[in-house]
Amino acid sequence: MTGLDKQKKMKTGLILSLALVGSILLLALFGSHLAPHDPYKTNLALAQLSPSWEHPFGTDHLGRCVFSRILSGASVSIFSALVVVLVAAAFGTAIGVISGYVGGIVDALLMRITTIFQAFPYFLLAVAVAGTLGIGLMNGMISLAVVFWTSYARLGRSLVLGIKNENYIKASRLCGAGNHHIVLKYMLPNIGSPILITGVLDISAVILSMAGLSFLGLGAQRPTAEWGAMMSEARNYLQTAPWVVIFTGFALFVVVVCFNYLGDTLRGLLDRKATGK
Amino acid sequence: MIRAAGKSMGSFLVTLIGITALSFALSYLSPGDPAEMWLTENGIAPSEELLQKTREQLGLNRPIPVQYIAWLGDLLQGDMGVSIKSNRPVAQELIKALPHTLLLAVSSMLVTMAVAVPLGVACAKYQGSWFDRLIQLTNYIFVSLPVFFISLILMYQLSYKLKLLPVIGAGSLKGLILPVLALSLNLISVYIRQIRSVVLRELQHDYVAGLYARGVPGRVVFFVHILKNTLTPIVTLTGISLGVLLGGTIIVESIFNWPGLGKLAVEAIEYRDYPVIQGYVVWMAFIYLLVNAIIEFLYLLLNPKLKRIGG
Repeated sequence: MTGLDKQKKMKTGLILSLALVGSILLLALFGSHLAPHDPYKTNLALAQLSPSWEHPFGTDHLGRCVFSRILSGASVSIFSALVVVLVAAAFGTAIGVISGYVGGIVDALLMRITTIFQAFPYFLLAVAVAGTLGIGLMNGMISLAVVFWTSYARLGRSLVLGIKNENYIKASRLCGAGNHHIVLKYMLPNIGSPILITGVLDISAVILSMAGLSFLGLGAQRPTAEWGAMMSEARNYLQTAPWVVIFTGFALFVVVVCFNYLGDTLRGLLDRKATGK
Repeated sequence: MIRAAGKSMGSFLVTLIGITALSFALSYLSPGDPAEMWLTENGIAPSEELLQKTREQLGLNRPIPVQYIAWLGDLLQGDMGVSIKSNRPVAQELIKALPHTLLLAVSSMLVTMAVAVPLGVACAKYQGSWFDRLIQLTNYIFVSLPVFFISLILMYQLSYKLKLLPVIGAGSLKGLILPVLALSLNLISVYIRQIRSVVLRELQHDYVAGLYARGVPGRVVFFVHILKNTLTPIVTLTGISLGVLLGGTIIVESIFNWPGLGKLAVEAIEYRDYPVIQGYVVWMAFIYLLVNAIIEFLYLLLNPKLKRIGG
């Protein structure tokens, strides 16, 4: 009875979280078309207006519509994070799979390198790499990929070690399958879901880190309508136009909550599958 | 035990060397020619001939491993080069800023523990109650709030609107409150979650039922017996959260104008002051590594089971 209830609740959670994340992605895709005003058009006569029907989230110190800027900035903030997670997951998983599959000295060496990257507090390393590469959105993305790949390497390795000696792998080897074939055809599909879930859970961390880098002036640059950069610009006008910081921060918060929700739901489903219920 | 300690000491050293290598490699990421930078900073117009000479002088034409060894040798002697911005030794700049960051980090950690331990235990004790649900919801909110947003909101509410606290205020105790609050709020939620789940797990053990059966009062069961067993996970969590904390200080220090290492680093990036960035990265990684090594050691002390396995 309770098991069924729980299953039903989880299904609802999954549908709800997918719907939320789906609408966020749609908004990010079409946000710039939905914006009621030009997000880059400055007009000092309209500067620092508090929220109204014309400008639902008010205007900033240059008279730009905050609502329009948040809508059109969603794509930068969200899609850059998605790209970072994809790159980090692909690279990290590849390293982890090689490490676990080959073993021996290759494994020891690769894992040692992973440990060294993990020896740095992650945001700190990202700031240092972005700062050294030079400011810009692309460099910000590179620096985040540099710090986020390590967990996939560890996870990929342990997952491969877990299934390496399973009978179906042995059987395929006996049938003459090459390493390439075994890894791509039999291993990857079997280690996919934990990696996917880590990826989804990482999206919100990357969105936050990206915004943090831009806030420090290391990622997207002014006047780009990126949320971190917008808040960085608006913080000097916190006293006279607090709505810019508040609404932009709130948008960031909502997006992060939705991705976290999806990640947690997926993890719950996987845990359930793992315990065989 | 000794063998285990020796082994982790060895891996500590290897990681340490790796950290320095990676930090050294950072300088190769920077766009621009270091020789040219050196010349322009010293007010000399770079010409091809001069560049060649400077490269030789700075040792930039030697093979990279040789350069690394030389750099490492200097580093071990405490020489991390000279700051481009202030022209003072990097080590001196870092030592000046370090106490400010330590004060911030340690205070945040203490505040986090002081709030999260009682709340986490209470949530576990009254699992499923409105109190537990309220705290869980608050946790969910705070985990998803970026630290710079929390900082700005706190600043707006407490400094601008209520005029309770100074916006910038390094040095005074009042000035410490906002940055510490901004750093702790995220961590508190993480800790409460963890402590709650650890206590809930402990509650399932037979010894708890045994204690109750012997008539031991609930408060003693919770705050003496169960809390003792949650120490190990809390210590482990401290190691992980230190990294988050050190990352957070970069943002919080630059918002509240706190003269610590994070602000130093951000300013160094603005000035392209690579020696300072490099020194900062090495130091922070070293502190992080050292604290985690100490924690691993504490872990061995706290958990007799591991001692036996370790040999």
